[in-house]
Amino acid sequence: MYSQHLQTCIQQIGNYANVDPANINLLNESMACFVSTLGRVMGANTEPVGDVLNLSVRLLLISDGLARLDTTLELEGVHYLVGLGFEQTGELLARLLEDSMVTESDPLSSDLWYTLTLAILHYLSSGYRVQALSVLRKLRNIANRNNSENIERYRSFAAALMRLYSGRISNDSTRNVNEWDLLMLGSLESTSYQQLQIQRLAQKIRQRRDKVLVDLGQGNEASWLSIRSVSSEAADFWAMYLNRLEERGITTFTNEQVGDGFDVWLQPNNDLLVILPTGSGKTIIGELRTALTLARNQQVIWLLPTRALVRQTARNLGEAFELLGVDVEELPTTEDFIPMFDEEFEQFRHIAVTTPEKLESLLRSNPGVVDNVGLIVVDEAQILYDQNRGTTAEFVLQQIRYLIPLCNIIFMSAFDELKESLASFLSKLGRQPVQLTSDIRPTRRMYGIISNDYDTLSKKQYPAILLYPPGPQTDVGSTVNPFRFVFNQDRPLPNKSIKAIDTAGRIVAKAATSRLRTVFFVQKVGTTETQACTLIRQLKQKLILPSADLARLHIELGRVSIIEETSKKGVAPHHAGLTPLEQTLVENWVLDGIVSTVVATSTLAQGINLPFDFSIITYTTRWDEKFKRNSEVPLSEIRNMLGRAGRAGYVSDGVGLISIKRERGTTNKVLDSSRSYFFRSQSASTEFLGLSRLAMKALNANVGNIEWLSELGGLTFSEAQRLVHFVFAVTYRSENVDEDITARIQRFPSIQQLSESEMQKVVKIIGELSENITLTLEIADDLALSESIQRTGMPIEILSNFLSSLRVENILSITAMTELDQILWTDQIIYEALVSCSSREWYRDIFKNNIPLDKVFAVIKLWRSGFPIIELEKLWESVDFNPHTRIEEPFIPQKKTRIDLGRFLNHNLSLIAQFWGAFAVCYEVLFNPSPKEPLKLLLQRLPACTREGVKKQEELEWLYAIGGVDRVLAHSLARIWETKGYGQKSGQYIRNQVKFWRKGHQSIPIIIDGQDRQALQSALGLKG
Amino acid sequence: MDQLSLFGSHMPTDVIIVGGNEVMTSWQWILRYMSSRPKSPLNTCIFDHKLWSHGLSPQPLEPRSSIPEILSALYIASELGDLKSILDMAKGAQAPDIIINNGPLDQDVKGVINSATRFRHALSEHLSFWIRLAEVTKSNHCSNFSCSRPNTQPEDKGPDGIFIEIGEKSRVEVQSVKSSIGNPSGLISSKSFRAGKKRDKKKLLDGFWLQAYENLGLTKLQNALSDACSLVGLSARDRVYIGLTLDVCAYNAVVVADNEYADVNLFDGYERVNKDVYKCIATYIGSDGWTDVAEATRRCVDHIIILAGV
Repeated sequence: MYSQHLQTCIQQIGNYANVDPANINLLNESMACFVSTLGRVMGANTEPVGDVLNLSVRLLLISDGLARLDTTLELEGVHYLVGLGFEQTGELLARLLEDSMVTESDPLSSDLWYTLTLAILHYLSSGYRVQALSVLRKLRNIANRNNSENIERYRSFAAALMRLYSGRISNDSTRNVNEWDLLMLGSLESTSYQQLQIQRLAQKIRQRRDKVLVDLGQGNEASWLSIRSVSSEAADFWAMYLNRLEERGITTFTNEQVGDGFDVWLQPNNDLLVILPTGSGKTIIGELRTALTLARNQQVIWLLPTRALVRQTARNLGEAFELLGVDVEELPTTEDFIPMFDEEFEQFRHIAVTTPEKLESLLRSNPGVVDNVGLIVVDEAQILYDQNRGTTAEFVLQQIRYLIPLCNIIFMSAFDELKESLASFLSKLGRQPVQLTSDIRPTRRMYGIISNDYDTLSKKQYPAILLYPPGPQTDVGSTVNPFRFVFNQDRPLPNKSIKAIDTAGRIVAKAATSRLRTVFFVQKVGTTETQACTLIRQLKQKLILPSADLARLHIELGRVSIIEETSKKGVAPHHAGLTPLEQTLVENWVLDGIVSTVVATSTLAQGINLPFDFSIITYTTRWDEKFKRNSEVPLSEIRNMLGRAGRAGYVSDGVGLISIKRERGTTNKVLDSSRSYFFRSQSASTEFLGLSRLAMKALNANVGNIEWLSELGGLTFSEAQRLVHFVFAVTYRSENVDEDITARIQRFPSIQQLSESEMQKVVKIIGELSENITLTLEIADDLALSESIQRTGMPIEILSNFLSSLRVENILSITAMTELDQILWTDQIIYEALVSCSSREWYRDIFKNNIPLDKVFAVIKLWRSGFPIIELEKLWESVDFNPHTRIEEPFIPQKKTRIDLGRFLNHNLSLIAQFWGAFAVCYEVLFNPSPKEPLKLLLQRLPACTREGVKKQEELEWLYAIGGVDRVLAHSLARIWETKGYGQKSGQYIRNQVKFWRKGHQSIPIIIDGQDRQALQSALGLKG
Repeated sequence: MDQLSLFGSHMPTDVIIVGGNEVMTSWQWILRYMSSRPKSPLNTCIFDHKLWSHGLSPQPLEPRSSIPEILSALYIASELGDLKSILDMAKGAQAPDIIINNGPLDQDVKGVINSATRFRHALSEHLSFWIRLAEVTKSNHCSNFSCSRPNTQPEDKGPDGIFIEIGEKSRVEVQSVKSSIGNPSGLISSKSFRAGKKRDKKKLLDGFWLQAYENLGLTKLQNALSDACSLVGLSARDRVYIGLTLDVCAYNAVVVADNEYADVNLFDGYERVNKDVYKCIATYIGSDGWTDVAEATRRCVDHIIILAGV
């Protein structure tokens, strides 16, 4: 329980005070207080009962002792423990008693306010900035929400604390200095113990900050840089960067961030592996190395796995560097076969933020532009283990190392279990990396179970939560006295047919009533909605949802959304069948405190970081369609879901629970038998990654069989595509296939995971596949087909079909058509090609559930034309598909329709859109059109348009500019500007317009009115 | 007359208002005759009914004989005296003279002495301080202890005082004091608290519950703790050590009222504050007419002040 770090802190305080650490109960007592308050909020009886007074006495004494010491550098863990204690005794109570917290005229007479102040100051005294921020946000929110007569003093206090946090506290009279600033600076005589305590701790915080910036060369920039072989000409740049750090409040670093010291890892010529838990400040490590690389006049590329993370990181880096004259932008290419944009990558102090797929696209089309790149930062480096994307990431990295050997690579990840594997990967790329690793988490997690507890007195069963106590835990052993919540003041559970999900549901309802924030993981997409509806029936509260957000929903969907119905009571489903807009709004509403309970599938655990108090899992096995039986959910997935409890900088203490039915025996036994879910150590990954994973799957799929080339079975469509593309690129016209394959694949680090015999088998089977491809192409005797395969890796049958169709067309007549007709013509060719392949395995992989192809194409047509989702649902639901069938009004789609269509649009459509891309490649290969030929440009655009639901370039530009999830609104904006006109470059014009509108809703022209205007305000994040 | 002598003629001088002997005599009376705290609990708490065996049988405080003089000396000592010297006296040193340094009596103190009601409340706090001091001295199980000074003006929230017994396993006792001229039951706990519902922070046990569960009075607790630690010169390391090794943090609900109401059942509901009955102390300081005892003491104090000319 908790991390080992807390045990180290206990050791530290024990050593200092000469007390046996085994006799120190601080963590237990603090957790008991936290649990008691939580239980009280939820109406449960808890054991043990925490005694806040007892803990406060301890904490005040230790706090007093620490504050009196001249230096506490060797006692940083002790400061952390005290901060933890004050936070755990104060934070939940502050939520409970928010209004009464600010009634005293003096903030220092408000017990809870002062408790949280002490938590912040102790955290900051030891550099635990993330934890401090979490509490600071709490105080600021309380002060901002309240309107009592004394509130101004609280607000000014919170503002001064924020300045202390960000290193901007000063007695400079030109700034907005208040009494609290002066107190924290020591310029005001303290008149109470509380003031004295604040002064002493604030002094430690200020001293700490000064030291760290000096360590980064502040005031001595030229010689600091020269030690790192960076020209002293960059001293001004480095000084400006350090000033920017200070202005942004980044003035202290945790021990974990500093590691063995800046001199070790903040060097311009080494690869670096950063393994720090989520929220521990990995980004700043990458940022410092970025700054050092820029100081050498080199460029930097950041690679991230998702578009959302790319946008967020670009924004953060922009904040850090744009005022220093550094260009920061998302790499303006797409993952399609033909990059849609061809702007050059700038050559001076430039940061590009992108995904591996986009970088791969750039490297394929114009590898020379990366010549001056000095650093690649791979954030979320676990992407290398992703089944679908690991190969691309690996391909990009080996290509970069091959093209620019001096370029450094940084891997950053929160996955401690991948540490060795990632280090080995980096070293196989040619250099031994420096490592900066720690398992100290900025959030604390309490783990346990939900079960049906038997009450021997009443002989009835009640829902109960059992938590493991703090302290080291393993996957074996027993817990004699778990922390326990029993909900025996409510109706008992039924005697028969108790289900884990229902028991958990009762507890989730309790949490929802108390406005505690919960993510409730269920197995099936449909169940998320069923459970959300069950929960709202138990809740009385009625919330008002932001009307601008609702306008957005209504425009996009054309109907009421399920999230609108449930969120009025603070509950929302979240699954892959919701539109991206619905998913985005649920996330926003959680952040804004409107939705407190999210019922989700495990997809929510991937990459989305929201502030939850509880993460509750209701299943540990699931149906495996392949083997027709229940199988264990992978431990990594369970841990990932549990990890949603707590959020760095927002929620320091999270409770991760698994609901498990007690069949017989005591709930304690259930707790003991569940230990492995929480505490079994995950051994260093031995899984194959990147190219080696693909190679092993290829072996199992027997890709050397001639039939495979037509069926592409045993691999996902994307994997098959990548394999064919790779094999073709390596062996096309090769004279010695085996040697070329061996030489090429050995450049990939992951391939060293294969044993010699596996390697031989892989080379053999790839050789066979290569032979089959060559044979097929020889029979076809078609150079255009060869080139199309080389560029796309798409099924040969489809490409042949496209080429045949194109060859029989009179292209001149096609180019003379209107754009609309050209799209219809393209759709028809793709439709016919797909029909001809409908018996293939790859076809069945893409079009799961046997969706009729004519229905798919009709839906795509409406999707691209900007129709609201309800119109697509009407089509989707029609049994005997006929676009002309009249649908009864008002039409309310079935749940299954909504979810199936949602999944199709979110997932399948991305795959299907590639056929438009392949068609565009075939057209280019066959006719070699001029760069600006309209038909070429249209075909080049169509894959993205099909994926995103637009037809025109301007619609796509609008969609991207307003955030990428308001498709129908983007169509409306494009329609409005169709008459207004854009001038020469629509993209630049649209981006500038939107940038201007973001300044405030009054900047938006009146031509955009009604629901569109409201929706646009919401999309741009404008309040009011 | 030059300026210096003119200024000098108005310079206040130190005045002994209660001599060390008187303080010692009063302290010895409290210490010698006071009943001891029982070792075993009764119902939901350790019920410590304080009586004095200075006659044939244990008696409550009364407005007759020398008791008002004793209480007035003690009140003045703990209100105006040096707390460290008082602690030293309890640990065996000589009793201090109570001296007013360089000036007239503080207006706040004067205000309390001039009001029968306010004085009664203040006296109850001082009384509970002396009784707790006597208790720790009598029990003789801890040689190092400290405490906070009684409130000059009783405040609403948080503890009225704390006692720390410092040792291998330290003990902190948080005191809250109520004074009543009638049946004190209404001051001890609210009906809704006893029913497990809403708490009224003005009631004694309700207040303890709020301290135990909602951190009420943290800032006051810090003041009291810091005072107590400084008084015995605890180093930073000592403070951390006590914070870690603190064995017991107990509650002491002190009621000063007429003896006829003394009953352990007044403290029903104490278990809601803490289930460990050994941590729940109820001290009932019985008087034979508390109003009269307090008033007689107030008159004595007033008399001493007048005599001292401050």
